[in-house]
Amino acid sequence: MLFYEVKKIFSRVVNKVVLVLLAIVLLFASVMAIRENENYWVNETGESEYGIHAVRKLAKAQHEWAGTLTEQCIAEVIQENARIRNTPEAQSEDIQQQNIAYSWRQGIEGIRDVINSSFCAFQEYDYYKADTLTAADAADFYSNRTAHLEEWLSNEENTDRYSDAEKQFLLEQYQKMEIPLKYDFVRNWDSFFQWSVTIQMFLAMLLGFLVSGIFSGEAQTKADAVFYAAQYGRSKGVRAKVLAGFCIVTVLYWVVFLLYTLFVLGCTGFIGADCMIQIMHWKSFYNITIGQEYLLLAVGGYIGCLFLSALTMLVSAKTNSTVLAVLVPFVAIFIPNFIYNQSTSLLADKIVGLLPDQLLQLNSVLCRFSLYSIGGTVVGSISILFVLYTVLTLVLQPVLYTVFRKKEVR
Amino acid sequence: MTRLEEQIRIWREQEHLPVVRETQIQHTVERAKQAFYERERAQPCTYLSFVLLQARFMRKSWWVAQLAVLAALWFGLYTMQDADFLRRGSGVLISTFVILMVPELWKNVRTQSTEVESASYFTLRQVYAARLTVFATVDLLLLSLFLAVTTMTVSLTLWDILIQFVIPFHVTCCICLRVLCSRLCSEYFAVALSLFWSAVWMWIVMNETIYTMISKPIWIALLVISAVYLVYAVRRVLQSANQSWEGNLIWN
Amino acid sequence: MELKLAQLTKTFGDMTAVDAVSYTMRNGVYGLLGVNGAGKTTLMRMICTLMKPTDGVITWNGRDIWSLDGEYRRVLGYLPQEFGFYPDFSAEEYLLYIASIKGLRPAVAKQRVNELLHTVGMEQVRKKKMKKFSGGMKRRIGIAQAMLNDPQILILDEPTAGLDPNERIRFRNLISELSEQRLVLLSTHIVSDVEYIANDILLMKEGRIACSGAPQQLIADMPIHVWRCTVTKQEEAAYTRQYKIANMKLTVGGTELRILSEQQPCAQAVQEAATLEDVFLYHFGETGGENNAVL
Repeated sequence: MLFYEVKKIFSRVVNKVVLVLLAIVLLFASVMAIRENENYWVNETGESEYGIHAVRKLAKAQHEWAGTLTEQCIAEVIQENARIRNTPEAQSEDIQQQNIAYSWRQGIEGIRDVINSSFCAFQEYDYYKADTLTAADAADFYSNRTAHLEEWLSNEENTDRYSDAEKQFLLEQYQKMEIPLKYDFVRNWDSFFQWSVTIQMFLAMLLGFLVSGIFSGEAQTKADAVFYAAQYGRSKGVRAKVLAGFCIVTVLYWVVFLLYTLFVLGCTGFIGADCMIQIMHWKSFYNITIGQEYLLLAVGGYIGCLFLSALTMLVSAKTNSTVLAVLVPFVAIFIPNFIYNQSTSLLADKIVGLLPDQLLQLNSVLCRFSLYSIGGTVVGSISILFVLYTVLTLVLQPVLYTVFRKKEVR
Repeated sequence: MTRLEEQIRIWREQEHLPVVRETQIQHTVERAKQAFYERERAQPCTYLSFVLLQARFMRKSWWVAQLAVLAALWFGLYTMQDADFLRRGSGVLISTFVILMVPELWKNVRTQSTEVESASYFTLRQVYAARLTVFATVDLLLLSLFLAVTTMTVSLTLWDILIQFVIPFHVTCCICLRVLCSRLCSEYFAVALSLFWSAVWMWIVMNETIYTMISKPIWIALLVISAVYLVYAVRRVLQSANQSWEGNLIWN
Repeated sequence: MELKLAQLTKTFGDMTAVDAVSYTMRNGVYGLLGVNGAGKTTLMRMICTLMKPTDGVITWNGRDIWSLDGEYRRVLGYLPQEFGFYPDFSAEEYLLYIASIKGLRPAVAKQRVNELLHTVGMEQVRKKKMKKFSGGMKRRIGIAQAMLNDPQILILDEPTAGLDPNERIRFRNLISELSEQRLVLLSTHIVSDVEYIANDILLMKEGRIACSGAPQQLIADMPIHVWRCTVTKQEEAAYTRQYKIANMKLTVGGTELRILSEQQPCAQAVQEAATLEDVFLYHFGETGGENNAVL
């Protein structure tokens, strides 16, 4: 029965077109992630190169500086930066000469970014901050992080924004970060994560399209009378439909996401997976590695897609309308985007922070201070999102089964 | 009989006025009605009356929904005055505005009424033409009102209007109309594809990398191509309407 | 009035649905009988200008119906087999809508809608939504919409599907009344629908008119006879293979068979009067053991 349910879905021409769209999105996002603007290599003549070979050259140059970011390492980078800045090429008015100087700096560019993040004020980023530093400043590299956070939290605007418990939680999380940090080339992961949002959002939407007709299709083709009158029409048959939706989402999600991983990281490299995410997201309070972030994104996106698909199937079963069902993933993914970015209300932010679309953009969630107090304990929103939507998805399965099972044909 | 009626009766007799029989009056009225109906039957309805009748039978709630979408868009633009919202909101909401036309356009396909309509005096082609005309007229009024109010209250340039409103509007219309006259002809597919397009559009305009890559000539080219294709799509709908039964082998 | 079909052909790829059909119809009732896949609906759709013939021509009073265009469809009323309607319209609204696309002016439309709702017995439920109607009620509205423009040509494809016996009798009487001034072409699988009211029957097989004529003429022209006999259960299978069986009825004494055969099938067989259904079976029926046979 499961086989035939799946066959019913893919025998429709429109659903085959959806698969084609999925393939196009995958290819496009993969190419864009590899050719991301930041992934370029400037050669010794000052010319910019793009593409896989450029990324590999950049990776090799930055990998030479891989290791732990000790005070000594930071001091060396600051000195190297200063040395390059003082060369005639860097001082020249000619762009080409400046690019040549930049090409010498590419190896330390990653660490330079982190130094900028450390020494700028909490909500600022100055690209040239590192140029104003001396080797002696390296001592403050790690302590800046907590100090800037404390300063920011004690601002007037944040007095009401975070409770004392939340502030304490943030400071503790910051202090828990293991130092010195391990460093390696991570720009490959940065562009991978950025474009994974696009992949996951389109995946959620297109998977929703695929499963939207599983239940409503029976009524629309007027096969519901035959279906319900059959022996398994209100038992195994319904289970097969629920399972078909689950299988399609699972298989397609992991195939697409793993292919995306293979295409992008296969070309740009997997190095840097064991570095802490603070190398990319300096202010994040989550003390996890980049590899763990990858798993979080992968599993979080999967849970998000499962939940949205289950919701779509529920609407399809309840209303017998594929058109209405198709609106669900679109509304769930794109409408919160508007509200979050335009809202100035704390309550609205709290609510929006727990909407299912957040599971499809965990990369951004990791960078935000999205905190919730539950029974006196402060937690980040990611924990809640995972638990909430796993439970909701599991709850929706029997609800879906019951709703469709008890339908009447009028 | 009252005094007045009695007086009238006496006066009549004296003046020898003719007596009018009620039954004959009724007979004349019936004959007049018959003549009227015969004349009405002899002449078919004009096309303009037909278009107005089509408007009468269309559900007005879709127009109310379209107005609500435009109102929401205006409200967002007015309260936020934010370039990001202009970019994101317009394309998505304008696509939603167009998608609200889909149920009425697909009405006869969804309910399998095309067979009866194809055998009528006004063909399916004329039915679609009338519906598109009504929608075009009403939507033109709604959009004109929206743009008039918005340009007075929000700082919008002509360029913003062309890029953020007109292009997504054209493309969504093209998608809906092209699907209507395609072999798939599925309402679900039209809506799904339009939503997919909205997502793609939002992604294009919010992605600075991509957005800045697209220069003015490319936007103008997109505008022109979408307008030309829209005209083509409308023509295809009208041309294919009367051929919807060709190629359909019926098992009877 | 004269509707003439001249060498009418319709092909779909390499499949010929209607094959060089020629026939002339005037006022009266014409019954179109045939098995599924005979080409009845294709023929009707060509007459209603839904499809263009691959070859041949249809003329109305000497003029090609395609060149007449709207003028022809003004005198045409059509009830398709799969009758679609707008579920959220009431009966009255739906008929007014159809009246509008049939080119009826509003005053005339209103008058005709009132008349027809009364004729088909749907006056009491005129404000009720179509989606709440039973199958029979929907079909009655379908018949009403076909007659809105007081057509001279009425094409009805399976019009009595879903009607109960009372309604079918009512419908037959209505068609009989209308046919005096009209040409009515009625396609059906229910032979009794046309047996008593049709002036001519057209038997369609594999895209062609196999034979045509008045019902009594067709019966008389059938070269075989109808026999009734009772056989044992064991003999049943043999008879089924050998003869066309019009009816099979289990009785206490065995199985009573109604057999179509030129010769007396067995000694105890009694000859019976043939009906139009027997004619249908003679032309389209199968003996047991044939490919795709039911028995």
